[in-house]
Formats: sequence, structure tokens, C-alpha cells
Amino acid sequence: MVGRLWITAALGLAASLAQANDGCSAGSEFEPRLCPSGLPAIKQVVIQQNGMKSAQETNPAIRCDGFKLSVRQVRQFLARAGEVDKQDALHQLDWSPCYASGEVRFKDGRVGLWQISQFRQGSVRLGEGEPVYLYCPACRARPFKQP
Amino acid sequence: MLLIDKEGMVVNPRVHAARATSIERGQMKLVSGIIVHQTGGSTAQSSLSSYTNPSANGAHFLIEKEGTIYQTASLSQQTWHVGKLKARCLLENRCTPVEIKALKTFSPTAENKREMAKQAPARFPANQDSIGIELVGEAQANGSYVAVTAAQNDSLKWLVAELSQTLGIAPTEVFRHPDVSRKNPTEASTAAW
Repeated sequence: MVGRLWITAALGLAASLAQANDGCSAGSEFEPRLCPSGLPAIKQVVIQQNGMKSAQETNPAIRCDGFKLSVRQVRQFLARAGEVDKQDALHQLDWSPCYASGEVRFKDGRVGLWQISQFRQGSVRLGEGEPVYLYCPACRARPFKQP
Repeated sequence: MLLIDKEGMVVNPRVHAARATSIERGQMKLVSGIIVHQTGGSTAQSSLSSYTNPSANGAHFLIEKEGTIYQTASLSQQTWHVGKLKARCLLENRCTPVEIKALKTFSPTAENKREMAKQAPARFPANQDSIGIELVGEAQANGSYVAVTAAQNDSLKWLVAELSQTLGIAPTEVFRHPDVSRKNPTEASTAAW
């Protein structure tokens, strides 16, 4: 009985460490702390660019024409992704030169510009401010590469 | 030659202490190299403010656009500034047939794990054994990082030379961030030391 209580307490402590009260994950050396994105419900997604290669990538051997997302996959990404700190996105996560981008209309009337890369990173810019940086480890659709 | 106190902080008029223990991630017993970054932000203050967050990540030094050097973490502590390592043997054309076969399957996580089984300099310097230097500099609308200023490069050159001499770091073990892990290739591309 005492042993079971200890196990329960230990599991409870581990859970509280992994998921803080603010709904954010704890993060680790290679997985950034993820928080709820707070993005409103999506009304419509428009894809404007697909299978794009970043101008910053100068290696001609790298191709991005295989990275093409469907509207459904974009909606799933934006709904499932967590918000990640900009510093963590730049330092911890792998950068991919392959991306898709477009516009998203939310049910609350706001409109944003989204960008999603092949390594499951993305962003949504609402207005003139800093974008919301996103990461979706749970997104496992075929176009994404699993780092 | 730098004077480093028992807390791992540089004692020098050119280096301003701005230690943020929140970005320190355990003891660093050995320094194998230096990694040069750009922050992604336009001011030192935005980075310093973010370091007050208990879960923040950063590097050991931060160089403002006008050249001011801040030390933001102890040199005896690791910071998580590198990310997953790329295979160094690819850059140096010395991968074994076994490594070449393993690299054909895309997996940065597995690649990093294989690299971390080696000791530097057989692999690139990692979080566990490298000093990170951040240069303040934002990514522009087109995705490219702004150019490093002349004042930043002057400070970077001095800091890299002093750290290398003090800690015995070979010139071959100083890298730009995109050299060692998968990052935007323009990050620190205009840094010179």
C-alpha cells in the first residue's frame, strides 16, 4: 500500500514537472517548451505558395518540390501546433529550407499570414507585430520530415 | 589572456557581467570550441529580457550592435545554444562506409546521437563542450539575417582570440551556427574573427 502511494506520488510529481500549470510542456535539450498557441478557431485557409525553397538555401542539390501541403494538412498543423519561444525556435529546432505559405481567416474575423516548413516549424503573423512561432511534433502527415 | 573568476565569469573591462542563471544547464567540464550565432532580435535588451524567463535558452556571450560585450552565462556551465549536430565527417569528406550508409536515412535525431558518441574534434562542438557567442541581429523580411556590424566584428575578433588563448581552443574549432547544425545559412554568415 505504502509502495503504491509512493508510485502515485512520483507519477504525480513527474506529470507536474512535464506539464506546468500554464499548460506548457517542460521542454528538453532538443525539444523546446511548447505552450498553447491561443490562436482562434480557423474559418478558412488559403495556400499561396507550396513546395517552395528558401532563397537562403544556396545548395542546388536540395529540392523542395516534394513538400506540398493540402489545405487539410495546413488546418491540422495550425490547430495542433504549440507556441514556441522565438529564441528556442532559432536555437533548438532544425531549420528547413522547404516551406509553404498562405493566408488564414479565423472565426473571430482576424486574418493572418502563415508559413510552415518541412521540419514541422511554422509561424502566423497577425498584423504588424511579431509572429507567433509554432512547432508541431504531433504533425506526422507524409510531406513532413520527422527529425 | 583572460582572467576568469571561480564562478566562471570573465574579469575584464571589455566584458560586462549580465549573468542569467536561468539559461545555464549544468556543469561544463571541458571546452572544445566556440559557436557564433545571431540572435534573431534587433536589440541586446530583447535577449536579456527573455533570459529572465525561468525556461529561457541562450548562450554565454551577447554582443550588442555597437560592440558592447555581455557575459550572460558562466564559462563553467553549459547552455543549450547548438541544437542537433550535423555529421562533421560529411563536411570534411572522411565518412566511413558505415556512416555514409546511416546518413542515407534522414534522421537528424539519429545523426546527432551518432555524433555525440564521438569526442570533439571528431565531431563538432556541442552544448556539452562549447561556448556560444550571440551577435545581436534580426532576420529581415526576406528571411536573411542582417549584416554583422563592424563594431560587433571587432568585439567578436577580440573575444574569440582571448577565449581561444585562455582556454586552448584551436582556430579550427570556431564555427558559425549553421556549420554545425541545421540552421538558416545566413545566420552569422557575415561574422568575422
